[in-house]
Amino acid sequence: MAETATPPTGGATGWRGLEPASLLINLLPDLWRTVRSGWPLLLAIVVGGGARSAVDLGFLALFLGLSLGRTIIHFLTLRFRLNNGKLEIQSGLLGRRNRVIEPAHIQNTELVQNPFHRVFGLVELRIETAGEGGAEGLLSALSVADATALQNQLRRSPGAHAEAGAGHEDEIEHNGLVEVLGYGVSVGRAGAALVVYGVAQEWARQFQPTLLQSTMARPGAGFVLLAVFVALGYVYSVGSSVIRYYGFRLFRSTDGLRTESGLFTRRRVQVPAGRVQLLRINETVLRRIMGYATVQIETAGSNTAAVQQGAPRGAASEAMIPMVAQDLLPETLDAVLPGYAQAAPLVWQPSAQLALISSILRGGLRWTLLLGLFGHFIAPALGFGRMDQLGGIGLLFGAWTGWRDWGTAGWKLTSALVLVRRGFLSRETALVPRSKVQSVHLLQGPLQRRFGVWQVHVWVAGGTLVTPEITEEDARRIFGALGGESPLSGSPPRSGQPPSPPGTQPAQPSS
Amino acid sequence: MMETRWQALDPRAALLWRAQGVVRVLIGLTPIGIGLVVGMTFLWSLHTALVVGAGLLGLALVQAVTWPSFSWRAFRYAVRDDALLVQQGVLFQHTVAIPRHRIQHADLRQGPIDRAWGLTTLIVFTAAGVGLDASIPGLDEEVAEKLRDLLLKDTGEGGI
Repeated sequence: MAETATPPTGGATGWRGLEPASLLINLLPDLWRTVRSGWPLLLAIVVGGGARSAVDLGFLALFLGLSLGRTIIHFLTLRFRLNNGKLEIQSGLLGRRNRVIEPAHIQNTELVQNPFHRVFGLVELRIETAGEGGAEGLLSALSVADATALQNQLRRSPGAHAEAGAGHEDEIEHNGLVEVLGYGVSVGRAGAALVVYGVAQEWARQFQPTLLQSTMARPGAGFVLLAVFVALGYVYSVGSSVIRYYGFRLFRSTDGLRTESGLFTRRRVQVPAGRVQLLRINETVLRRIMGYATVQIETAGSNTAAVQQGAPRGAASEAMIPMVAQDLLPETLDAVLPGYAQAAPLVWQPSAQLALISSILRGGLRWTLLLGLFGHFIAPALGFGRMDQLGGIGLLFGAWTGWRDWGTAGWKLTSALVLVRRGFLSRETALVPRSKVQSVHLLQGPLQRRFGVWQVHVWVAGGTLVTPEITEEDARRIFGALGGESPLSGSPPRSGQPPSPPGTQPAQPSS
Repeated sequence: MMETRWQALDPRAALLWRAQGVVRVLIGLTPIGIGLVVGMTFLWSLHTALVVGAGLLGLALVQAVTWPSFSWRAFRYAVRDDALLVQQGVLFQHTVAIPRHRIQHADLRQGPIDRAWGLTTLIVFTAAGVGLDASIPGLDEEVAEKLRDLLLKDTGEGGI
């Protein structure tokens, strides 16, 4: 590791830099980023028969030069040290940046090793806090020993969430190739495959109309093509799952949780003890038939980044267990989130009786639209002719799934956890430790008011838990338990005029 | 049982919202309305298009003037020892409870029209996300500052 001349002062270690091999390791990703940001120009060069004239070659050299320059500057200027237990990172040539990361604020750390790292025996260390989006500390090329040592030092710094005597790890979950393949199949990409199929057909209609006509004239050709696209979608899904989750293992120690996975790029995610904010258990129909569930573990780290980048709250997860056998689920969940065992057996509180109507309406509308549009627009393209009757079948199927959704939905409050279950075809159970609740939201739309039902949204730093539609009494119980005394108690929730504080007259709006 | 002392907003808040609504309609919707009228002349006569356009603009203005009264009546807040409660929404009702020790920071914000009326919006953040968790608009400047100081006084551990 490149040592600088700065001596350690007080509780500080000396400044250290990246390994020289980072020049090679970082050049390719940086070049890719540059290409992505300047793709219209590159497209013009390529489509315009470029890379021949001096101007075109000049632009390509500029792209390469920019990436090379940034990579060299990054290597020369990035320095880090531990200063009184805090990680201090300096970088930048013209715009200097100095960042201090408090170990107590670290939500998770991640060691990433792509094939280039592996060649040089290096690793990338990512450190995420709840403060900002993205990896707040990113050290792109350290030796494995140095990165692990730094990770351990941060974990044992004053204020960090680690316990004395930590070190021994128990493996609590392991996914073999069959399980990862099963996960890939159960994720499914049929919807995306349909979209790609539609776009491809539109492209062929515009640019290769005779080829399209001759192909589609053959009996069953449309159906075969669709089947090929759906199969390709599944192949993509299974392939990406294997690349991402091959050799998945989950370990637990007194320090917290650690996962490792990946075929080419190995990721090792460390979640300190007590940092888990939210667990989501996804049990699609296919996974239930296989006897498995997927568990997403959320902390306050990357979720804020995902939200900033436009993703819905709760869309990102720090770590995920691709497949957990149903019979092992309770003990795995208890290992990930201590306190779960006390919640068992899970006797769910039901959603409101009248919520059945809105659930059937929603299901019917969703499936009528989906199958109706398919029958009207896509079926003719497949050579089956218009199948508008699919809309009626969708209505019946949607009403049935709405009824089953309503029956599946439930909630439970324990002394330590809030639990919610929703969805029949794609069942999801969400768990939040009560100690992590940041705010509680009580919502009622006009249709819900008609049926006298409410929804409670529980916000934690890692996402949101949403209850099914429940009665006012249940909403009052949850809201009161998590947010203090319920504001619904006493009078109806809204009488048109807010009650004024004792001894004062309510203010009237000026007109 | 802990008492919840609900507070209404300053009555000037309804006036402020009306002014903001009218400005939004005149600046934002008028160009769209003119575009619509021009478009409708291809379907109907100019006279009919003008009547329909003026009608739509009139409806938007009526909504901008009347709706703030309902919003004002629906809005209330309470500061308890343990939590801040904010209730709002006419069609879609929304009540939020933020435990006091979870409040990370609070902002006071004033636009140009707010400043002219001497009103301020108080925005409260927790660690739950990058957005605001609750906001109380139309507060008198002095009240807003006191409320902010009160909320930030005993925020406790606020850990995540």
